[in-house]
Amino acid sequence: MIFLNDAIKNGTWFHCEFPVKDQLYQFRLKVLSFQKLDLTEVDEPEKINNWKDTIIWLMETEIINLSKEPMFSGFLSKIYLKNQYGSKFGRSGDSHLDNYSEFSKKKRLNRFAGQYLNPKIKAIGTLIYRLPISDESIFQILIFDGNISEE
Amino acid sequence: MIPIKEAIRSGVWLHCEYTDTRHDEIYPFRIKVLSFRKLNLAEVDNAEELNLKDTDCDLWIMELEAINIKKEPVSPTYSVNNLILVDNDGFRFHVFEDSHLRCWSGFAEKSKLNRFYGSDLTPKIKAVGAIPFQLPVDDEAVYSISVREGSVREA
Repeated sequence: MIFLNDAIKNGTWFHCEFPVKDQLYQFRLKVLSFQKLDLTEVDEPEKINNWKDTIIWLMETEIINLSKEPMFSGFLSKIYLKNQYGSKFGRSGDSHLDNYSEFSKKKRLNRFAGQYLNPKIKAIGTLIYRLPISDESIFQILIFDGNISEE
Repeated sequence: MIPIKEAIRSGVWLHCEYTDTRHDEIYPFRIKVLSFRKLNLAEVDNAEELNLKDTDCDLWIMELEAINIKKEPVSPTYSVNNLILVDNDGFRFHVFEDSHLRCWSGFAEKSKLNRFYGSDLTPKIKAVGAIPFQLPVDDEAVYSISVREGSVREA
């Protein structure tokens, strides 16, 4: 099991893979940080969907596509979190937060919004998760219909 | 696949075919690679407008002559922009899409990157232009030319 806090603390690189049709996609993942979004940092936060009702967390990552072809950033939705009670949380999206706001550029949310990742080239970007979180939450990192392992 | 250095040295014409699988239509064209060089970003006016989000990579420019040999005008989208580079490990790199680099900058015109950004290729008429690639920093890499959804061979 790969725990989010340990991944950040140790700076570990993980090998991730998942199949799509007859192709196996592979990438390397390093989690740099995981922080609750401070809405005061976002320009025009009222444009975020349900911005008053959800707690948004930002996972800053480095990702290197190891597949032979460019990989669409939408596939990074394969990265999900599971808490100690078994609840699973997938990547969230928000057009203002990860594409149109100035904040999206500053925090690199736009890197994984409708973009491609070229093979072998490190991409640094941030993924969004909406979590009903408490301070006691412990998260694992997993790949939907795929595998993640420490390198 | 044709090694890019060899193609430049020999000046060979390459016959390429891109297949539009959705409409089951083949788009043939010929190219001759004139040069392939690493781009110095200082060459680009207003380089801050470039959509460069990644590190550990360089931009390269491939200058080429292209002739559309289909019976009708063809967009570069169905021909030259489907050229790809394949490294010695089999990793495939597509044309780097950036509107500032390929269209709006003064450099786009100077380097002829704008030729294959939008204007159709008229049959039988040679078009001289360039296409950019974003590639890993790797001086040992050897690149070959191929076509996404298609083929390439010596003409």
